[in-house]
Amino acid sequence: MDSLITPNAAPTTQTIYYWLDGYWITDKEEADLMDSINAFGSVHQVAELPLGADIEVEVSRLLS
Amino acid sequence: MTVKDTQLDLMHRKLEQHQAHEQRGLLLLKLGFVLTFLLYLLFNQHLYLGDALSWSAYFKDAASLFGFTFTVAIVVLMALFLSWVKHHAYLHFGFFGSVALVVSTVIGFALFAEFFSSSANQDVKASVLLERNSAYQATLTHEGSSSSTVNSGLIASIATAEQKLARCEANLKLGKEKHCDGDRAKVNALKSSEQSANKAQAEANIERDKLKYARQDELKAQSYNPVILTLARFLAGDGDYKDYLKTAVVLITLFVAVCFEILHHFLSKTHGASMAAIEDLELAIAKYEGSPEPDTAASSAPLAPLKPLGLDRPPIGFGMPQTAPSTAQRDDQPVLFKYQLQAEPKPTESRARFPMGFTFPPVASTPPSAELRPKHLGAHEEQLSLPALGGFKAHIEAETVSRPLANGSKTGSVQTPEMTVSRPLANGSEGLYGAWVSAVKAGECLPSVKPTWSWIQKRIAPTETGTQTDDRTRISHMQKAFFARAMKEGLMILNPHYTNGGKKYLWIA
Repeated sequence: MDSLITPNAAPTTQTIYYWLDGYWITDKEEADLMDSINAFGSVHQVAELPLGADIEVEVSRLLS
Repeated sequence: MTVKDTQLDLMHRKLEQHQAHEQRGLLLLKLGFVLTFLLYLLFNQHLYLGDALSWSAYFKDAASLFGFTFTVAIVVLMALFLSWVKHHAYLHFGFFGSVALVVSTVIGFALFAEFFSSSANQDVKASVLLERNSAYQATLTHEGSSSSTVNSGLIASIATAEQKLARCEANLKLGKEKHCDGDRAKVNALKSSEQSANKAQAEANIERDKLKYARQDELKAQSYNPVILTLARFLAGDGDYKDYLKTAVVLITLFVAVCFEILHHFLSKTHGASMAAIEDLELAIAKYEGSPEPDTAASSAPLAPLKPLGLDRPPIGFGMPQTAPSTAQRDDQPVLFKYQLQAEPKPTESRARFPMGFTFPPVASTPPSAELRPKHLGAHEEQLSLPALGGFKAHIEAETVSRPLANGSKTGSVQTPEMTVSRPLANGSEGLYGAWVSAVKAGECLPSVKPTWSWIQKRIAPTETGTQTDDRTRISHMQKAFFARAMKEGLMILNPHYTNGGKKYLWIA
């Protein structure tokens, strides 16, 4: 956790935006745009994952 | 032989058939090019050089010979240019579709050139046939018959009577005769007879000439093709069919030229369709050859129609198994958007219970009871629950970011209560994206940039006003996001053979 608050340190996490059908992206603006027209039948959720994490597994875990 | 091998064999066989079909189409297109070149050459020859029978006039001196050579060069190059442009245009139509102005110009000019030269040829052909017609030649060789033939006996009688009259007048001067009235009357009578005979002869000659020319016209008309004669008689009705021969020639050659152009244009269409089919098959084969062997359960199932790979595999980027949607999107149910939900009350209590930002209307948790059913509904009718869209705006405004769930090797070791969300109530098929995929599969929307852009625009812009109006850039971003997800799911791919003006994306679902 120290690395998260250390200034000028390389980011160790990534933010992903996912929907209830399991689709995910990494662009917040695109996620907002898709929600504004109900593109995927639900609103997106946000998760912050370590850079090396398996996004598929984590999204699956979040939705289970 | 496994299912994969069988499918690959079928796809290869189909590819070979398409390639043979394409080769045959290309050969026909080349033949059409050569034929068009010759037809244009004939057209230019008629237009610039006239009939070949008259070319001997060009070979009298060096100057006319030079002029003839110059004109021949123009005729050949122009025919080559026109036919090549037409060939190129038809290949272009096959790849990029028809352009109305180019189609009308190319085909219109080709039609004109073809029936111009063809109709001229019909006249030349008729003239040649006429020259070889012995009956027609017989009408030309009896020109001498029209000269008047004088009765020799009458002339001799007139001469004898005039001689006798002269002798009588000489005797009258000598006093040997009292008068010569008898001889004079005889001469006058004979001369009158001669005038009557000459007049009758002239009238007979006129009548004979009339008959001769009528016969010549009839023979000229008969030298045309029977089909042309029939059409001319049909056009003439009760009139003289010979006056409609030229019109019939133009109509028939125009008909032939139109048929030729339709078939030529058809070849370009088949060329485009064949190329598209070959490219799709090659892509499907390449993709299928790289895919794993289907499991035994799939192998024992009956063979489905050939379709590209990627359909049965879970789409990329999905973290949950494929399950049937729990609810279905009704076609007549309008898709609600953010701006339509702003006027609705925000269920703050519900949002508090769902820290991930999801809000579920109470009506979804409990089925409507008989007491709650509206009175205007029948006993067997049931009010559908409203979709859980009320939290879109609220969610975006107060988005909750969950903390990292995974931590390298410790993935999933700790799970806070905030990480748990309810079972998915919706999937992509219920949103606008799912509707677009369905529309593409149903052929109602082309999987290309402009059609998809228009499809989205028609569904979100017509009722949207004010500052929330989606501008063109936003709709373009939506279209790109749809394409990105479709490619991620294996529904479409980038066209590897993309050229400017062609299809950038290929729908492979």
